[in-house]
Amino acid sequence: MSKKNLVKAAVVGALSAGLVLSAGATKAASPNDMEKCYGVAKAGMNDCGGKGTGHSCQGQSKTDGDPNDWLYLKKGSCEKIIGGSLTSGYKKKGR
Amino acid sequence: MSISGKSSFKKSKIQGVGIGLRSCHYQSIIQHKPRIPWFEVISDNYMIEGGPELNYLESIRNDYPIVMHGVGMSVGSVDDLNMDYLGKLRSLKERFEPAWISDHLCWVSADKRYFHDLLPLPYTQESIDHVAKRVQRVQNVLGERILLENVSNYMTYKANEMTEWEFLSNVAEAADCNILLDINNVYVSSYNHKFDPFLYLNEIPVNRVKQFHLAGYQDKGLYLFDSHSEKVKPPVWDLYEFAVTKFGSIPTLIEWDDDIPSLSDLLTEANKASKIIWK
Amino acid sequence: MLKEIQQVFADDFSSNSSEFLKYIGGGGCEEMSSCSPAPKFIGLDAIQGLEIYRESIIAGLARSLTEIYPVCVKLIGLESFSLLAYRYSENYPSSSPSLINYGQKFSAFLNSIPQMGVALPYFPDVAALELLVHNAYYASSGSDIDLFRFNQLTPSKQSKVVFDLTPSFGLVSSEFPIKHIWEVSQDGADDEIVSLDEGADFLAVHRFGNEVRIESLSAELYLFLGEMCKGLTLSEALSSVLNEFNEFDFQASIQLALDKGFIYGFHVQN
Ligand SMILES: [Fe+2]
Repeated sequence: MSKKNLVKAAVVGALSAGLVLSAGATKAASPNDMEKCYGVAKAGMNDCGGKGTGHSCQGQSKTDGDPNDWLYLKKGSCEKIIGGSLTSGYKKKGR
Repeated sequence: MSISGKSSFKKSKIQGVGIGLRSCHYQSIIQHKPRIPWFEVISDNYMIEGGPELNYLESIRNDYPIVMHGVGMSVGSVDDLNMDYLGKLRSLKERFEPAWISDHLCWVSADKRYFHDLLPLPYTQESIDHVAKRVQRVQNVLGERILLENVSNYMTYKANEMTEWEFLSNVAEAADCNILLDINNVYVSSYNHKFDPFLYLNEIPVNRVKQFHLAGYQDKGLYLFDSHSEKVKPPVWDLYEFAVTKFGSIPTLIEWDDDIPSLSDLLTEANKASKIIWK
Repeated sequence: MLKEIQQVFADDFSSNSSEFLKYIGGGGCEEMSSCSPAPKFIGLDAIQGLEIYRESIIAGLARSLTEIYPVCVKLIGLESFSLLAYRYSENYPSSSPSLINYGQKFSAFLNSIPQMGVALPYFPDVAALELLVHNAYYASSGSDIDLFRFNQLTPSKQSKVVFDLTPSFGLVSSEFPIKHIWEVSQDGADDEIVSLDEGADFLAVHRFGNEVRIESLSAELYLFLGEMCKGLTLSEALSSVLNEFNEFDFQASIQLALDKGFIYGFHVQN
């Protein structure tokens, strides 16, 4: 008999004895907590402003350009992420 | 939640020059409670299940009156009215008690696809009838008159049977709704389509106009673009002065949606409008 | 006429054509009698006018992606991100009146890009994590679990319990350290190097009060909670975990899930 089955039997035993759980933490949501909360800087998603000239998408190559160009344009913090594929030819497996 | 039918918020009167509520200013508003007569809130951003955004809005609503302004109603679309959207809008109305609710005289969706852009309608009797019918249904759901805003316009339909100002006035009449007159949009469209913006304002029925918008455009050379990313431009101030003489001291909103400045810079802009409105 | 105009506008987007041009004219004064003063030049022509709208629509969608995926923007830079965002926006229409709901398939879209797996294999997983953070931020709070009632259940009833996970709850795994990548990409984070060899992540995202949290899980608990998300009963989820792993301290694991606030209710399946 494998170890797996032994543990499995033990689990079924435990469940037959009944689980007793204790209360988890309670959620704090007072307005005073909001200073700490993540997402404060989240901009409004919907607006009626002119989106064509927006700060976020300024100066990009819009609708033209090869979709593969993203790779050669990339200038970001990903340079600080090392190892894996970037040095050892690590290949991503399907999830 | 109001049960007795009486407002649960103390402040609900909208007067003078307000600014748009944007999340980057939440902290500053809650902490410093600046002297701002009222805020305009983008309703669509609060059609959510829960979370901090609604808490912020509630906290701010306790100190300031608000109006709600939407971009997703799509009153000009031939798609079915989005009842889910209207239900959410009604819930927001009940919870936050805005002084009024507005959206745009345009379509933002077609064939069940949302463009999230304010697309103009052809100025035809068919459009008037269509929009009037839908606005009446919206007003039945919400239990109040809404305001419709004129949008900035960059194209002209061959099917047009009338001018933009005739169209806007006729829709308001046929739908029995009010008007949110965006002075910047009038100016932008007048430049792009070469009509007289003063003539436009002159032809709008005074009793329907309940709110003004002011915003900054970008000069693209060939045309003006309603970018909401800068200060109100001099010709728009001129047009605004004219609008105040014609329509009176209508509550006015400074719109700024992109490259949003600090609250104090926004207030400086609002003060310029205050000087005109209370002259 | 109205129906036709709007249908053609929508069809143009799907087929990348410009049939809509037949409905619009040149500058306003060509058609309108009420032009005053007389124009010095004709305003926007039809092609320019339509282009302003089309560009504004795609740019608006792309911009909403920069709001939902700020870490992705930081990782590859705005210029490169915008290129991907425009491609996505052209190919994935929005079906909701609110942009808050847009961009839900961005990670899958990134995975479909051929060189992604070699060049930035962790990138689509970081996007998947960011989407969970975004969704959790706007999710409802859920209520508190009635533990008294749970503890009263007979063991055989308990084995048929299905736990309801809090509405903001989501799971994401990656063979790369995406939590660390996410953390060093936050504003104000220390300037740190992340090595992909730090290994796999099994993560739960949820909102606790006003705060969105990313929690590291054991592979066992990750699988267990995943089975719970699918609506499996306690005993079904347990046997599924024990099919994969040799040991699983389920009492401690469920207690941990409770303490973290992942679970907000339960029902007993018949
Ligand atoms: Fe406006």
